[in-house]
Amino acid sequence: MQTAFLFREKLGQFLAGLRRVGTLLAPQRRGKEGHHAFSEVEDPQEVVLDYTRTLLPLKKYFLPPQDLLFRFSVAEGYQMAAEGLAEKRIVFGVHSCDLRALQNLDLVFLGGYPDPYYAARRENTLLIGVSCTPDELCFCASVGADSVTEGYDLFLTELEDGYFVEIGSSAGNDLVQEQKELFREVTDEDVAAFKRRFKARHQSFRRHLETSGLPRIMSLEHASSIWASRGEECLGCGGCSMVCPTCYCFSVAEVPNLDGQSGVRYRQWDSCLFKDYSVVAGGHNFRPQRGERLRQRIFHKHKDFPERYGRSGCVGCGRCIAFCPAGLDVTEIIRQLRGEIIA
Amino acid sequence: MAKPRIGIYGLTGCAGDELVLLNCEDELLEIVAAVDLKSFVTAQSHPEECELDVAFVGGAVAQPHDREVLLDVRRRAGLLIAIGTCAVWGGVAGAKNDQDRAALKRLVYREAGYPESLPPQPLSAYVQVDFSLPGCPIEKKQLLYSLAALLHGDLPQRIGYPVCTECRIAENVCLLKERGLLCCGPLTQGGCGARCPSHNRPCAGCRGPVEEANVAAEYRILLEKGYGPEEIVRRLGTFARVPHLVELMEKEGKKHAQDIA
Repeated sequence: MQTAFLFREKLGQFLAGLRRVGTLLAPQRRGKEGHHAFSEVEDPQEVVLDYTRTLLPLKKYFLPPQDLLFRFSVAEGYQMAAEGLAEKRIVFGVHSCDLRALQNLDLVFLGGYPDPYYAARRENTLLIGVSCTPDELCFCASVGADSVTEGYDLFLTELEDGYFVEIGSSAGNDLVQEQKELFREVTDEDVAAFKRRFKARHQSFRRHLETSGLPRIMSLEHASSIWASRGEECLGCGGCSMVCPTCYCFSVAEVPNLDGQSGVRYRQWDSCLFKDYSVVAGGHNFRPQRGERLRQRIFHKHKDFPERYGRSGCVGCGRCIAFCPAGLDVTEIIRQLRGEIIA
Repeated sequence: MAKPRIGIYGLTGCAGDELVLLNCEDELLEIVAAVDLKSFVTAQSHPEECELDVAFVGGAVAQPHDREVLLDVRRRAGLLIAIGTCAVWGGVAGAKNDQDRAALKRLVYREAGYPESLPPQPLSAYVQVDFSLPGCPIEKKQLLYSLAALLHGDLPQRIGYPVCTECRIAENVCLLKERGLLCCGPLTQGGCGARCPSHNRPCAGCRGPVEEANVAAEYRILLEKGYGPEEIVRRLGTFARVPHLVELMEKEGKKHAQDIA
């Protein structure tokens, strides 16, 4: 592992330098009272490093909410859309859970049949992680997403007078070398401080999700009445899917032009919480009840994904809990399924 | 292929939905080139009332005359598309449909009288509607998309998600959860790009209920936030006072009263 130390007062300069490499995207506050959101950096002073969670995760940069796939016309046939795919981007300030989530998306979109749009964006985007302080909703440590050892170009851990930088790729190393006057070598004291910080953070988690044997327990509780009763509370707004860093379902639609001869096809975020989602030709719906759809979402994260890919489909970022207007809490539902609480 | 024959009609309403079409300045020439516009009295002096491939009808059925026009258009049209929340759900004019019609008429028109008033109803109360474009007014984007889909020989795709979906994508603060405001977003059909919440105003529900709106859950959430039952029913039903949804709210209200007793 290569490391370096970035002086605190040099951070702004480092960010300004990154803007020369490509489009710099980082957490910033949306308006005075808004949430933190990843957005393009104009002024490095606006970048917020001590944010808790952004509303939307990183997937918006790799699988945009509405993604143009191709154009078609009677005259010219099909033309793959390539807008923005080659844009060089750097996402700065990514938490471990979101890096871990991107690895999950990689399994899906770069696995068996690589998705060319996702692959191009992924290829042209550098990722710089940053350490975080968990709040009462974070449970990434329960699902192995509190710390990542790969999937980033640089990872910054904040220490007293600067940032302990782990270098995760040769592209990351280039970023350091290009502005090496902003860094110094790591000392033994830095390593000791890094370890102290890591331990303190690890001990600060307040929320826990017990995952042992979870796929088996979920199988046994497939017919539980918990789903119907929780389904009555669920507003079916799909917000949890939108804010989830590992929800990747999309629907595909055509938007024709008024000439009756041409149009575009795009894909857009979808959610298994929507009634339309599980309707098939002929009108049959495999999951007509809201409770069945809520079950589908939680099953996919905690049973189907782990069984297929050998890792949790949830990264414990807490977004679905933080932003659910109905106050549903996946960790509570799972404790209910385990019989640990009676609701 | 012959251009599709189109008619655009307005029943009782503000004609705002017809205006949305006229406001498509950049596309108007393309539209009139693509269709054979037979009747559009808002924009045309000499309508031709004939067989139509598609009729767009806005406004609610609020007088016997509206009903006659609607039945006539339905008979002549291949496809009938309701435009605007009045045509799709009855709209604001139907917000008092639970009250005595004669008393309402007396209150509004006094001795002048207005004998030909019906409780305002959506088109679907009288005829088969093939597709609905809700909104007060309708969204330009959805109208143009729907026209284009029809020109390609398709029915447009229906929107099956609520305003919240687009509001999350816009990364807005949740006015219901985080500000405690009476926001109709979770129950309201999406497609507006979360227009109001994106300007920090709660959704007023102008697009009417999304399919399978969980009215009971929202009603309970609002009661818990301290809103009174009457205010909730009034606000959630401003644009679409759908009797079975109002019933669901009343049922939930009773359940809630029992729970706290």
